[in-house]
Amino acid sequence: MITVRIAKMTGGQPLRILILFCSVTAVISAFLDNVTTVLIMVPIIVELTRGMGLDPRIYVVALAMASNLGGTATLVGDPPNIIIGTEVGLTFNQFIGNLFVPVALSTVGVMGYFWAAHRKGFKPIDDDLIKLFSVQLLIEKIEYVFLKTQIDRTFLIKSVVCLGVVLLLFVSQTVTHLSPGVVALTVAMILFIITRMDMEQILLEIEWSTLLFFAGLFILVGALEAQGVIEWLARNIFMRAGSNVYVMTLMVLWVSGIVSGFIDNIPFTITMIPIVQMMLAQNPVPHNILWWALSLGACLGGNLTMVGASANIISTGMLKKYGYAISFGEYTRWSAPGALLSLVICSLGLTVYIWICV
Amino acid sequence: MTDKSNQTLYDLIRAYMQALGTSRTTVVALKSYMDAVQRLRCAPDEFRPMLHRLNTVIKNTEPKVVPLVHLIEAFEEEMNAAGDLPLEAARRRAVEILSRQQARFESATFRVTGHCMDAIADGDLIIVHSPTAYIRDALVRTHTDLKRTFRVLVLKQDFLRTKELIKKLEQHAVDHIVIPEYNLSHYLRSAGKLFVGAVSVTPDNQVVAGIGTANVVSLCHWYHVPVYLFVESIKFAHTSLPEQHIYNEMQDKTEAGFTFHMQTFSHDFIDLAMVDHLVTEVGEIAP
Repeated sequence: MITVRIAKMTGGQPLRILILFCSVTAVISAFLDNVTTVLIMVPIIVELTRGMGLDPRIYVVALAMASNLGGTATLVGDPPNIIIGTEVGLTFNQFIGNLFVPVALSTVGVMGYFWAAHRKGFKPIDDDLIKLFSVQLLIEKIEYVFLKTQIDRTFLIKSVVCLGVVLLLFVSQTVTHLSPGVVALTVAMILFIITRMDMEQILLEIEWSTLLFFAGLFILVGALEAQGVIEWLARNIFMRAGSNVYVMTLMVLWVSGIVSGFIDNIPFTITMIPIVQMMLAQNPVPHNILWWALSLGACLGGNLTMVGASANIISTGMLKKYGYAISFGEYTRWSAPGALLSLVICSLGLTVYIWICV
Repeated sequence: MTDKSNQTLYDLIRAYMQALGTSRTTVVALKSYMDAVQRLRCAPDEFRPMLHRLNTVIKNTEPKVVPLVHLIEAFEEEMNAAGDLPLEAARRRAVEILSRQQARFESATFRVTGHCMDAIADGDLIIVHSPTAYIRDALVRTHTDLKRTFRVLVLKQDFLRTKELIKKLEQHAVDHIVIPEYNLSHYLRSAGKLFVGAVSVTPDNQVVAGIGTANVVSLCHWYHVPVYLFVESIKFAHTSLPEQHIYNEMQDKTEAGFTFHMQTFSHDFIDLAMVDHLVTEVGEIAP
């Protein structure tokens, strides 16, 4: 329903489609999993853009980038943030208070980049009667196709109320001292009880393989730490940055950003946590700046290439189903400049933060 | 607009027709036209040429949306008769004419619905294939308003249209059975009537209708099941069947790992001689 309303609000204007869909995707991604967000948004943006004779691929790449950007802003938006927050003890409010501005500016920057790089395709359609005619037909068709799902209103209300309670408890973490994991599990159990869902079906839908994957990764990194591999990496790469706060911070940001573009940011984040802890033990940096640098780098670096984040892979898979192929090279040509721009914006933001606070 | 852009619009209109039928497509197209005219930003001397270009595109859709084409032709005549007007006055005039065309078409559809309701009697088993909105409305209103008792045999063919019909019938508790189209032979001796709609009726006595309709009509005709065709008179085309631009394409289909080429057509055509009752907004006319 929300996505159909957004489609109507765009009025078929290409630039409005980019801005509204990317903005809403970023906001939803801050609270929902990135993959879930793109699964919701991609079908409708493909339907809308191809009906307008536009290239859906540009919009889908922008959408995937927006989902990664939005997920960076909160504790629960992206797995690296959940890992960092849990391991280091950072709260929901700390994440949103420190990361919202750089993420918001990066999102604007990325949308600006897409507009500048593909300006011809974002021309207004107000001077084209045939396109204006197509828009209304298209929006009616989208309404027909996407609004026919029957919704269980009672279930929806209960779910939304529980989601609200979860967010409230996240925000009040410093008062309640309840960790996000405890809050999430407890409210999930309450929701399960009040909706009387089928326990077996729910247990089947839990991603046990993902949970075991995380557990295995932590064991693996723990083993590397015990064998001294992590210390070797820390001393021979990161601690060579010396004691200059600016250099340390930017090194963490950019190394995380570039590496995350090519390897999964979850194992990378788990590996970097003990490294950053060693760096902080040797050269303390206040205000958790190094953690924000790691979070921004690990999350935003996922926008660098097609394989940098799950949302990117899912989006390109969905595009292929609709008949729009996009190669690794094409995706990277479109996404890499935007990703680098967001890292530059975050670099400037962190630099200013250090200059003011340290 | 380039040919590729026109093709995108034709695909959109065709998808709309397949999902919701010709009548609904016509109404939505008129509303879209009015909205487009109101939103358009152009120089005064560009307005008429833009209208002309859009009208040309609409008249050449694949397949032709005959009622829409006729309404656009009437719109063109009235706009030409209005002469040279300043931009805002021309815009208002265009919207006013289109609004009147929409009302005229909706009035005709409403009257066809009424005649369709008259054709439903107590105890009927009515076969419905690829139904238009007014056949659906007639079935529901005859049950809820006129309280007649009848049964509907829904032939499952095009999923979107069948789904719409079943939802409406279930919502209003109209007695119905759903069968695959290919199982119709089991009901031909007990069925009383076949109700169909059409995209257009051509001067060479051909009826352009939804895919699968030709097979169903042929079978009913052979078994002497009366065939009722409900159609607004505005759907009577001025040009013959080949000029109705029934869309066809060669597709690569893959099923169970086996790929083959298949030619598909967007619509069927039926000989008007197989229609027993041709009903328009003025009532039944000779086929």
